[in-house]
Amino acid sequence: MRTAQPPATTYDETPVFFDAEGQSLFGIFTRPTTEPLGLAFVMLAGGGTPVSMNRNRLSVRLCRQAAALGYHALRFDYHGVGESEGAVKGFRLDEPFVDDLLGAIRWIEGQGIGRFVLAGSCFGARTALAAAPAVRRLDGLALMAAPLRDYEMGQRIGTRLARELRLRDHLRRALQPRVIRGLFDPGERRAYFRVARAKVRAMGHGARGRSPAIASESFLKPLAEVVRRGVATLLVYGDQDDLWGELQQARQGQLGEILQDGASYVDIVTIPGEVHGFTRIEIQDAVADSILQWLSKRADRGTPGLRGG
Amino acid sequence: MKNNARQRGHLGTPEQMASSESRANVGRWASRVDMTTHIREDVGFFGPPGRRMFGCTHLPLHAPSAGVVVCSPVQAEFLRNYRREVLLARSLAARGIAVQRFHFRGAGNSDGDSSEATFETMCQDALDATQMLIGATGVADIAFVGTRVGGLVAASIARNHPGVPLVLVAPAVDLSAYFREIFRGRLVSELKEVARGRQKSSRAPMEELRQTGMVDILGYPIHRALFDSIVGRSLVEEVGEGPRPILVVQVGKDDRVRRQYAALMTRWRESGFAVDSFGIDLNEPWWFGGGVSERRVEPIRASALIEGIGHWLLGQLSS
Repeated sequence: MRTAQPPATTYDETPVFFDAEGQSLFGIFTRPTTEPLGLAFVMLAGGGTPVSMNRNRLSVRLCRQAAALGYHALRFDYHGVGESEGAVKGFRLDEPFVDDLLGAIRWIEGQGIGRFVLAGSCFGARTALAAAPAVRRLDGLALMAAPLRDYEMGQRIGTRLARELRLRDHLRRALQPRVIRGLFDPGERRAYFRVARAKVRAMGHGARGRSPAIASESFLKPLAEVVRRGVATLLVYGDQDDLWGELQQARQGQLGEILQDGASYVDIVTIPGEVHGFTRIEIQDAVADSILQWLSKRADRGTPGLRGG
Repeated sequence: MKNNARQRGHLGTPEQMASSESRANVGRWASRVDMTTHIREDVGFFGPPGRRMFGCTHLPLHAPSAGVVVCSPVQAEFLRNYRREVLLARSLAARGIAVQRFHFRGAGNSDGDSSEATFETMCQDALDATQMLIGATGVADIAFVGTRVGGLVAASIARNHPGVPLVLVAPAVDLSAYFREIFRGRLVSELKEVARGRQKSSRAPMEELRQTGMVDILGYPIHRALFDSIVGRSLVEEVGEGPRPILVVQVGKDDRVRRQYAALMTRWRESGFAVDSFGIDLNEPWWFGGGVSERRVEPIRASALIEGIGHWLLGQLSS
């Protein structure tokens, strides 16, 4: 393992603007504080705290500490967020901001760095995963609390219950006063419609004798591609995340086959507690330690990212 | 839109604009010009090495008529309010007013750790940001905008500039009550965890703060140093006695002016302050993520907030 260096500071950082599909996005580029690896670590925030700094400066910390391992690092604001241009209507997991990330990657390539490690949490994880097949020299992929299903931010529990609850339970809930009040709010009505649609789909699967797939195609397809290419992949979940439970269920199906194929370079780490949302500092610390240990191992390997390497 | 373009117009580059005293302390900057709104944004780090702050200066493409310094709230509230402050700054710059935004040391992209931040250091940071703006633009007329605890900071440093306008957005009036509200948020969150069959923390937030020097509020630290330096303060004391124009912006679902704000504004008016106020109908969960329905209406309400503040500041700074 590389000797730990002090993390980077603002002295090692440069604010940058770069183009992504005609919009100007903002990022902070951190230079290595030790011998450069020629690898860029790109950190993507989740939809709950989409600003590049992330909750309690988690992305700032990861980028500055990655720089101490020899990585160049970039954290950036999605379009419509932070210092970037544009406007954002919402964060849908099946519509991740791939163009934003590819714009960042093109900018980094313009700085002469051509190998990448992508990392993200929740929506950021799905963005990294969706973009991964398009990144030619992808040496690593770290996904923190990556949702397997597709839904809009704020609908995780609602759509999960749509799958899990029986129809009569849904009807009982629908008659609750707060739910009826919600029918008068356009936003709540849309949310109820999505839950109802998810339930109908789940019932349709059941009627055809199939249990509904937990992991969506937009999760499985790029993951399969990343595994096929032999990209070192890290999945981090909390053992109390409902997402972890869903991953365990999904392993009974196609996901299990994909993970089996990548057994020698796909690492799955579970942390006690709930990782999703990073709502506890000790969880943030544990996740950061996992990511940095993994980055350090990748750095020590010299030519990371090759199958078996 | 030009990226990283150094406009050599009236205002020059950030390095050229910085006064000779602060030039040595100007770090790396990136600039962007928006020819639609005719504004320029200079983003970078300033301050002494090892204690640099992240800042963004929003400028009209012509000489600005005045300047505004924006003092952000802290922790979850800082991220929650972030985009609104960016859009406010852009709106003001498009109307000819230079705006300086910054991240307090120990927060955001700045140097330092959150454990080092106190009310005093926050005020010094705001003063440094004010000097940065004045040094960069030469503006003589200044105003301050502060949200939540940032309002306390803005009020405190505004005392260095007698009579200048002050905007207070959802200000924390009684800081003991402010922290009680934040700690209550953690207790509510823990009750939800218990309902899910999970254990909650064995210590109450205040006890945790006293015993360990830090309390974890939904993944954000509140350190003893910051708490001790703020808790005994009040907005009335920080605003002081010197009259100035004040705008109080109430954010929430209340139909009427909250009692604490009404009492404050009455007191100020009786002391010769020119006080205005308006309310934004928005259920703002400062420390929790907003629900789906609130996220959809937020851009609309944010526009109303920005327009209201911008309109008031323009009126004050042009008179």
